[in-house]
Amino acid sequence: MQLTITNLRKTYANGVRALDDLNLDIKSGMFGLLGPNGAGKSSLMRTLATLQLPDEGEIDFDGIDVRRQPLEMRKVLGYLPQEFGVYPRVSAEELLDYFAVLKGITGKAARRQRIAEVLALVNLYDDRHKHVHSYSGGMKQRFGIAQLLLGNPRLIIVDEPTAGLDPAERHRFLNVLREIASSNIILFSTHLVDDIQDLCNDMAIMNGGRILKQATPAQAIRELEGKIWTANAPRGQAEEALPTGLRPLSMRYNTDQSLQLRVWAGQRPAAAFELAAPTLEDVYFHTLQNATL
Amino acid sequence: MSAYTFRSIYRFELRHWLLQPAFYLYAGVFTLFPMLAMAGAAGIFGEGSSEGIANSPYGIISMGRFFGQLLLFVPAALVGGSAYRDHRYRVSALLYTCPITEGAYLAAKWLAPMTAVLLIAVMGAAGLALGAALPGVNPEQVAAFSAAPYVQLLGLYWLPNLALVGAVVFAASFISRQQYAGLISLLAVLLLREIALRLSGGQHGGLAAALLDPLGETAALQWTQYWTAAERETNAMTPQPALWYNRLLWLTIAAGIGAAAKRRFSFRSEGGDGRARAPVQARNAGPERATPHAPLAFHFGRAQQWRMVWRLLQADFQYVRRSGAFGILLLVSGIFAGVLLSQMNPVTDTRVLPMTWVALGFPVFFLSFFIQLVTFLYAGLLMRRPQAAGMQDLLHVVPAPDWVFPFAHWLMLLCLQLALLSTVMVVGVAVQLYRGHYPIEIGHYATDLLGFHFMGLAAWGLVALFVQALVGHPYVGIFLLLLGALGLDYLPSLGIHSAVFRFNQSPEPTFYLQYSDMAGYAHGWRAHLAYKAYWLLFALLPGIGALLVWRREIAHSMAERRALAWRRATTGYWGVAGVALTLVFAGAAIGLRQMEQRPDNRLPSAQEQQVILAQFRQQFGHLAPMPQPRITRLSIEVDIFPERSAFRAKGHYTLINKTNAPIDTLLVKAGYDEHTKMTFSVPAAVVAALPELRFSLYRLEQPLMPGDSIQLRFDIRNKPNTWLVRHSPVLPNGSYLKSDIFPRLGYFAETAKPPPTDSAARANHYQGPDADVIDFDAIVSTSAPQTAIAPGRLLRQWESRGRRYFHYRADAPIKFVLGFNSGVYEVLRAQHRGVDLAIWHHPGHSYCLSSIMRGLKAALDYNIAHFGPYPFKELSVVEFARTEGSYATTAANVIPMSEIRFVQDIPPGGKSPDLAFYVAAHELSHQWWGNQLMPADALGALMLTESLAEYTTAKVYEKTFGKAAVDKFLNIQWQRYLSGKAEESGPETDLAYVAPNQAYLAYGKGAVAFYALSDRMGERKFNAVLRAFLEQYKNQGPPYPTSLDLLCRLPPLD
Repeated sequence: MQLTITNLRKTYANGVRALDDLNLDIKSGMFGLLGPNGAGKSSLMRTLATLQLPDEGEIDFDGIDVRRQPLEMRKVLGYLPQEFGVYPRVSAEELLDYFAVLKGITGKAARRQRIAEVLALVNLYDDRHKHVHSYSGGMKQRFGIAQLLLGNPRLIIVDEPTAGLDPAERHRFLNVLREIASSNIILFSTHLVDDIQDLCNDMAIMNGGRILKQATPAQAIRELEGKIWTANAPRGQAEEALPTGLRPLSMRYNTDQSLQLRVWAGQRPAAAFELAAPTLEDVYFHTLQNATL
Repeated sequence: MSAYTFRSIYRFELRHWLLQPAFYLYAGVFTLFPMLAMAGAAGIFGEGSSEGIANSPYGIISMGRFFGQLLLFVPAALVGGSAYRDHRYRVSALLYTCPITEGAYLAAKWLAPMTAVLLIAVMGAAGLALGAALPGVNPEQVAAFSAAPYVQLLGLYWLPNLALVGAVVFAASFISRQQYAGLISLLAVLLLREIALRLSGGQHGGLAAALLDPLGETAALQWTQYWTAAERETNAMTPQPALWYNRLLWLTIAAGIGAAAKRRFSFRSEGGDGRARAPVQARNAGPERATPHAPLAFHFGRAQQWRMVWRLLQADFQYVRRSGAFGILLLVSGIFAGVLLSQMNPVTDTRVLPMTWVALGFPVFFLSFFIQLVTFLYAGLLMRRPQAAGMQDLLHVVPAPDWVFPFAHWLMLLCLQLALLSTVMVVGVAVQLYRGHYPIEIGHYATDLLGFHFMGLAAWGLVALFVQALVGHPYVGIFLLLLGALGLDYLPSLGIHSAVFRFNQSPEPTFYLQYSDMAGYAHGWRAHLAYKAYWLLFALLPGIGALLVWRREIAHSMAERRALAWRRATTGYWGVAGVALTLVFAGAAIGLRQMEQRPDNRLPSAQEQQVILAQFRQQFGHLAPMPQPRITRLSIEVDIFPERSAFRAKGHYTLINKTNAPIDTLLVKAGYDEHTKMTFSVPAAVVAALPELRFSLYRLEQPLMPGDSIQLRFDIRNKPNTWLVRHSPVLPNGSYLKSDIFPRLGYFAETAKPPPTDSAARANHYQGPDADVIDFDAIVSTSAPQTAIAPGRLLRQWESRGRRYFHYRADAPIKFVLGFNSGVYEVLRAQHRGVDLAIWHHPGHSYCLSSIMRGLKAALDYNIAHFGPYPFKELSVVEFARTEGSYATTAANVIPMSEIRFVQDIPPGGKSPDLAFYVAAHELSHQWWGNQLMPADALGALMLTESLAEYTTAKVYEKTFGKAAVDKFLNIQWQRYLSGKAEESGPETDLAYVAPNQAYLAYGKGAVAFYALSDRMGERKFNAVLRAFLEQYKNQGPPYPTSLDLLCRLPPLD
């Protein structure tokens, strides 16, 4: 199972270059797409989900030419957009039945069973008679996963699904994703590094419509081993603490109001700095920083 | 604080509306169209395209009335949108926290779009003013500019009405929080207005009607309805007190609605979806469940695609059902249909019984536009529903092919249309059940609604889906569709008459009225169905268009939309289907057009008739004074074949030279729609002809000497009907063949009648260019169950080979005004004053027989008492199908009377005029005024026939129903006179010079004038004058009397 994206380009009418000669290969498992707001993640995902046309480039999923065979793609696709609404005054069960027919499930009994299954999977079974409209944010996202799962998708695209969820909801939601990841491709976009770390076996960092880096999280972290240095500086003196020419990857306040600086450097940049264990966040900031350099 | 925030919200909102393309669309349309309409009325399209002063105060207000009603759509779109927008984008929750009062918030939300509406209205008025000033208008049709009427139009009509609709729409939108509440409430207001106007009499009603009209138009209409053309051009439109009261009333109501909306509204309720929400327990923890993933079969084939359509349709259905708005529309349309069926004709204060064709006719006619509007609206709502809910990205990636979505929406539109159409049937049947004794003809309802009206609506459904898919903004889509639908009515004025080029029109626009209980749909239904099918075929193209352009994927530019449409066109064979369909449609259009152009499928246009008549005048005009022999005898055999709409008439005239000079040249014009073979009993040859007019010029080898006679023999067959045009007067039942099937003699192109002072005019009577009175002998046959009726006395009847034969002969010479009727009849007979009376009627049409019989008897009584004996031994009233018309006439001792007079609703107690009685009495009175007294063929002839018959009828009416009833009757005549007069341009004609086309004078004024005269002189004295006049001239040949001959007998009034 493989998703191959070749030379994908998209420029919007207002001149924004959302996808800039993008290339990507994705294999089975959980794939995390990390990038700041406006990096082009949603554009990429909508394009993969057959919702918009690229200007140029090819997308191939297991032999399906996504640009030219949108219907074939939709048969194997599960898509959860970043934001979505639902028809008011319709219960989860009824709405899922509606989607189930449209996703090709024949037979009332089969549909009923399937709906029960996906509702159980996302733990909404007991709320199935309630209007989706009145669900909380996390429940609504899980409903989104439920409708996505109806069709037994092989390629699942979820666009920033954890945004706006409380920690418990997020946890629950990620568990559901983990559970369905075994035999499919799940393409998962986020700007939360933790999401990726917890879940993904492969990832890419994206900005300005391009893929800046593609690696497994472990490998990416390994690459930074011995290169991440940290130091504490008193509040307001971060500038002075940094050796010239060095930019911080991140700065974070400690509880005593002092500032923890993290930098990337081939060797110890200054005496105050100590070697730190790299995190995925370091990878993310380092990649973005390198790209802009 | 509050004023500041009011100002900022107002500014923000106003900027929003002024940045909307829709605003410029509305402003553009409402400037351009009024401008064009005014310029058109002012003659910009050339001489004769319009008449009168276009921009008189009356002209401005009248034209403004039409655009004012269209303008009401704008607040429905804008104000409704303003109210809905905050809810849709969930701004309201934020506003809750801001320091604004609810009043200030609401005022700003209302005033901002209303400002945009005001701008558009001002543009509209400016458009009207500009139209009159465009270069190219006829300066004689334009008065000097005056601002006053425009100010009045804006200040007294448009702005108050817009404010009222704005308030209603605003309240409805805020309370319901539905995007479509604006249009639904506007439709409800307009329909309720129709209902109120119909119940209160509207234009013909009193102050109550003027007050009840929310648009304030009725007050002005009541005031101006009898204005003459000259008055309409010069009078000022002084607002009447009724108008002021009306405006005050409705502005108060608007304010009240606004206040009520404010009281109902609070930010608190605005925060959520308006309902108390049960807390939903978020179950984030809980046992993990294994994923069972039972093996599951997915299907994407045809069968599943149809299941998808069905499921989408179900969802649409639930949506419409749950929203409740459609229920309101159904209810209002049902009430409307009921009111239409219960109301009286406001002019005659009469009505027709709720026959099924009545229950179908008017409600369908009025509701079909309403159903169209609902179609436009729901096409937009259904297409945009996923976007409105924010669910489009979930929905549009399902593996359903593109066509299933618009197709399912179309099916839903069909359901809505069927539901609305069925209100017509439900209400019709309910009214019929309530009234009792009518056969409930469910089949007739179904045929008419499903067979004849549904197809056109279905075609509109496809067009609406296409426009709404293309535009993507429901209100703009509705507006464009509305413009298109109204624009179709204007195509004929652009010279496009053929239904081949006018979407969804059928060749006979009055088709809906042409059902007859006697003849059924007769002939018209084939063409109607063919054209409806043709346009439905056409509508498949926009249908395919809708599925190519509907917004499934996200397009950021027109180029992308094109690319997406192209992908759909090329992947699913839809492009091929579209091209194939275009070719098929083009073929159908060409074929249909060629069919229409075939000589036997078209009737010449008025213009072509003028051309050919001019040619005739030029070629044969010099023959006008050529003396002609007179027809003195008609002997004929008429065979009527109802089952194949055919007849054959074989017979001959006897022609006598009544002049003092030999005649060798005969001018003969045969029936226009007939094939006629003619021969003379002496050698004769055609020397010239104009076949387009069926005209031939014969030269006799031996001139016809004074006093001599010859025979003209003829063999007439009807031109067969084509599926487009009815040529034959024969119907399946209830046929009525008139004298126009026969050849006639003489120069016939003289259209203007001479004045009564012209002594030459006395040579002919008013209905006899070529005959005085004739001997008449006819054998009429028809198919077995039918009876054939002709003037004269029935000598013998027999049957032979499945056909029935009737031999009629007139005992004394009769006027050459004939009728041959054939139908399946029942007959009601009576004897009165030695006359055998018979009413031949359609079985089942027995509702008015006693009225008709009473009318005949009362008229016999009065006329015999005052004017002398009735000239025949028999009198037959014969019902004919309303397919032929809705009139009655007199042919010797037969009164052919339209079916419509047999189904009058005559409430007991004389509450409304008894039209059946009246028509019977009127026609019978023509036995004296028209048959015994035959006026000369000059202006004023109708005074001696129609006016006197109307006078006599009024007297008969008075004798039977009393003074109050005749006053009501005369009042109707008076109004008929006033309305007719308002249609005329130029000074009013004297009654004594009334022209044949001035029925309002001959009937309306004549009845009142002679009744008043009789009142003044005394009935006996006045009738004695009439009788003496009749005695002098009755049953005589030329010279015939004129109107002046009667006037000079009347004593001077003191």
